[in-house]
Amino acid sequence: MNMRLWPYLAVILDSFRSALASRVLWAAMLAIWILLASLAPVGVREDYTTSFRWFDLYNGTRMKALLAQGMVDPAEVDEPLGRLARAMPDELQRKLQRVGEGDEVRIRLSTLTDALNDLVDDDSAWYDAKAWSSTVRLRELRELDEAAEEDLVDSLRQRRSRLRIEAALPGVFEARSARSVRLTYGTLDFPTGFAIDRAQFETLFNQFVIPPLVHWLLGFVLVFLGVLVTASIVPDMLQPGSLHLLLSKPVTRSGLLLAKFVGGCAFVLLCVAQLVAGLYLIAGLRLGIWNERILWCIPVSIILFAVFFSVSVPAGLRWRSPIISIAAAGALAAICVVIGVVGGIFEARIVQPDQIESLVIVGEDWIGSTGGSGLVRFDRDENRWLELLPSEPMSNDRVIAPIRMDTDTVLTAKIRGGRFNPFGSGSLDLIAMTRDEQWDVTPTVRLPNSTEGLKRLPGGDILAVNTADLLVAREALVRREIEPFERGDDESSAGDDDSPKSPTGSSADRAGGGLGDWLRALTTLQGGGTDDFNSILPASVVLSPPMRLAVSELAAGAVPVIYLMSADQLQQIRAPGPNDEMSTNRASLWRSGATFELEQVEASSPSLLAASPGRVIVGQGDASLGIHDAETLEVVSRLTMPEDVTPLNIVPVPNQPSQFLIQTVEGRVHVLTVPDDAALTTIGDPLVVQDVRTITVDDDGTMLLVAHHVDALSVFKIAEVLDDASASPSQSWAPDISFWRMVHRYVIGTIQTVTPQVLELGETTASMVSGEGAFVMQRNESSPAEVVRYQTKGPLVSCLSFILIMLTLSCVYFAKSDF
Amino acid sequence: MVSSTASSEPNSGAIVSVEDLQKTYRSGWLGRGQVQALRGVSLRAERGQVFGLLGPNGAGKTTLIKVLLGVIGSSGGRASLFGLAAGSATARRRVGYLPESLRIDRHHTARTALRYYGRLSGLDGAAIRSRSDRLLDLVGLAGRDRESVRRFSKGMLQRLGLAQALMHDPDLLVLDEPTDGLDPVGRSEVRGVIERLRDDGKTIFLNSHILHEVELVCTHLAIMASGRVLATGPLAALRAGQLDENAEPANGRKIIETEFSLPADMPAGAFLRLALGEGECEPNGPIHLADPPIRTLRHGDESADHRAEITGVNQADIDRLVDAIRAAGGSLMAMTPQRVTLEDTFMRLVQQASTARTS
Repeated sequence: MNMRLWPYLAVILDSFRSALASRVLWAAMLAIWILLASLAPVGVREDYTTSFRWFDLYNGTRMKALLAQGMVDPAEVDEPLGRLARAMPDELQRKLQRVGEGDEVRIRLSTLTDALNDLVDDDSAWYDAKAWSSTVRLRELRELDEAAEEDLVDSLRQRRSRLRIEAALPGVFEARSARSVRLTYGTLDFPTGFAIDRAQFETLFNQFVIPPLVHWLLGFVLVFLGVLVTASIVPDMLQPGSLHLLLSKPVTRSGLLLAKFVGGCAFVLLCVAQLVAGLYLIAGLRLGIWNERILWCIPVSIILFAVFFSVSVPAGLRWRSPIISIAAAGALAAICVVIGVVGGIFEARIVQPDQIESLVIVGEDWIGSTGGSGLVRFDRDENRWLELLPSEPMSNDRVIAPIRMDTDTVLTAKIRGGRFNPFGSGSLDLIAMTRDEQWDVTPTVRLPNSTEGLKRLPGGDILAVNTADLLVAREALVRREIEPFERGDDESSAGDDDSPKSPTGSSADRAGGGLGDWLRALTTLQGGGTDDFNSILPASVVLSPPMRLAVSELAAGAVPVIYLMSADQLQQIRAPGPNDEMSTNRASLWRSGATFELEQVEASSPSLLAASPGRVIVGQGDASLGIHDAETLEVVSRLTMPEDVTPLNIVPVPNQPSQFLIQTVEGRVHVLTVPDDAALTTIGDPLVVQDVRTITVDDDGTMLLVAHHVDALSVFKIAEVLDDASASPSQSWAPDISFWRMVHRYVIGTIQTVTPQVLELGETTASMVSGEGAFVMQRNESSPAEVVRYQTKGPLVSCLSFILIMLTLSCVYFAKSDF
Repeated sequence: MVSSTASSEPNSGAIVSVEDLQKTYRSGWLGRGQVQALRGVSLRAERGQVFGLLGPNGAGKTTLIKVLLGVIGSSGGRASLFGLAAGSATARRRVGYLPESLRIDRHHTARTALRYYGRLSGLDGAAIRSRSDRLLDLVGLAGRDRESVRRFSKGMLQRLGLAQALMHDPDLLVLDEPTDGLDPVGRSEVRGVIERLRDDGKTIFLNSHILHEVELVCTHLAIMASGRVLATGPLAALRAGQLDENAEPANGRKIIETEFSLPADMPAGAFLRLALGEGECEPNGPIHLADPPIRTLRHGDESADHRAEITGVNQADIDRLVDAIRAAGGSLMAMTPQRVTLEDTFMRLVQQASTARTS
């Protein structure tokens, strides 16, 4: 080492010695060791997922309705529904009976799951192989059913019971992994397990346990302790008997101060290194998660501490008082928290409601749904978004991504209270908005319960997707509901029309009352067909959330086809062909097509499905895309994703069967080209646009519309971007923003730029520990994914710049002042 | 210690050279408050000297040392060490410094403190080890080098401070109030070390307000008060009141204290003036440098009894005075030769300076 650096090294080492001699350090270390010792017995055990928890129920209302049907429908007595319902406790049976008779009865989810868990323990009372042969059984259940009874251990037997219950109640349960982890403490089991398997547990642990634990434990406790202990370093150094001796040595003042600064970080380093290394070892030895990225927490925490220390140093230089040093660091912390909170409030209440979440091109108009569960239309003349349905901050409502019916009409639905509950509350009508009516809301047909998404099938029919079913309404039916308005009739006459608003009533008339009436009501309650929407799901297909769905048409014959990815299966559901046209109930003619068993993969990102007339693209959440033949569903090629491409959404380009557009978690758009020889599939460079929220293409496949940076828009000519990814958008709009958005952008933004982003450093930790750049939440197939992109570099750059500036100022002050 | 390298120094052996050095401290907002700590200080310390800086508290001694070490900057004038600008890293490399009220971090032992300060002075591990033993021995801490400094007395800490100042074998040792705050034993121990270093020929620049200390160890001296050097020169010369080094040495002249009586009506001042030659003399007051050098004149309980202190007299003056007392009909009760102390010179100078300032 350069001899010149020895004196500074000596100062740093002296700080280490000083820290080691400090009682506070030993107290902190003792606390850390006690913490680690108390965490050390935590272990994890993997077991079969057997018992039901309330959060396993994705659609409790449907379950209630199904079981009620089992109670009251004579046809179900010997069927699985009837057998299950009759095996329930008496009290529950009575309630189900009343539900079946049309009463409004509330049944707690925990009551249902308790009853189911009793059934899981012993299936002799309700299981009957013949009755269950009609259910759709997943691969796992088929294998268990084939296994000899005596070969099965208790937990596997219970697992089999659970799967049989799931098979009998399709569309009710969240898909859960076959095995789930259970935490242990020493030899004790925690009372409840987690409904996740090992791989998911690992992801959860790395992304949501370690980073907050480390960030908050270190951020609040150790950094605070560090600030307390190091606050006296500079004032102590400035004591005349100490400073004058140091300054008489052949060292530069800046070097001396920087060495003291680095040395001050020694304290935190000693504590943090032990804590993090301890957590790393416990995670590895006890939980089997060897994630060396956890060790990244050490430098990040040191940077966090250094931010506060870099304020405490100049305060100590100027006022020579440890108290003022601590106060300065505390003031910075307070400022950062206030800015963080104010920024968060602005983000949630001002920006997020304006965020464009989905887009549709309707002729000349562009319509989008917003983060505030509203619907907006972009007015290019005024350069601003006009509200069609109001956006509200923190809205509990859910607006279904709008779809285009024709060049004048857009269809959507707003489900009150539906953000966290698929059913929501109140009635559920398909809403149409037409240009001729100045985009006024026109309620049309009744949507099936718990509808989560709409798609327009080739040919014009409307597909509604809910938790358990796929339902189609004929285009003509919907149109009929719009037309009275288009003819200029007033609303009262529309109300007298064959209104969609009371489907159960009208169906009762048709069914002739009696038991049929109840059943009809129950079916509707379950999310089954309505007057206008008819289930097309073939009996052999069961939806088990989460699932993915894509709509296309087969090249041969222009037959609409739905691709469905659910429970590790990729399957085709084909519309009736032209020859079936004359049939009375077309919905029942949809039939199951090819099926392909997907391999189970360890998913780290959202799964994806997109289809063009020739190809189906499947992303299972691992780092690759499977390219399947649209006809046979066989894999024709696999494409490994580049490091910085994590697909979030894949959009086929109409009229260009070999071209897809990939919107990524990273906020970019890439062109995916799948030529006839699928092995030559390529992913292009990202387009010039960044921070992409959503993309859509027009029907001709000529125009790509991109929403980015909250609510800005860019239009690309698809032919140009296919040719050259770096092509500029043909048009871009940055809409005029409201006063509060301006305050957010210019005032809050400026303050956030000049203050160190210490709160955001937690995201850096999360990203470094998990190795993921973002965290994606997608509740169901049709709702837009919420992407939380971790700010990895930004907070680091902000904090390091702040430290650099504060240290430079301190060095200048120290060098220029007389002491 | 005065070596042949002396000629290589630009200032021909001047280790410390200060010319018209000024330092004004500014305080308050915008530096409006001003304190002139140094008002044109000039002095030189040569190789091998033990140069003492003597002055009352607030004289500017510590400020001068801080400027020499580069701890603070000067407001005017020049200061150099070894011919190099004072405060430069090269100059500081050759200086060992013991600050006033030394503070050594409590986590150190004598040995680790020496290692730390040795590293700061740019020494490598081997040099530190070899020198530590010698220095611990020199300062008398040999057996207690592994003890925490928490248990050290102030004297031991001060001796440890001396050892650290000597770690890199500096060409100049700067000691700021080395015995301040020590008990007599501690002082004696520290003084012992300084004397040993002086005898080894080290150049030492020390600063004290304790006259006695300075007298005991210094070879050369500068007296400071109110930011000025009042006198500078060899200790012996200053002790004898000879303030100008170029003046004739005061050979054979001494101070006497005499008690005598005169006839009742005879004024003692006028009598002494007559006896020793013309001069001004105020009864009961100090006599200024005018000739004859009667420093004090006091009258006893009996108005005829007088006591006088007379400086710079030779044997002929004494004979003449005895004759005159007898001839006037008085009687000589006592005559004691006095040694001129540094305190005499110091007090005289400081009083003059304060008088000059108030006038």
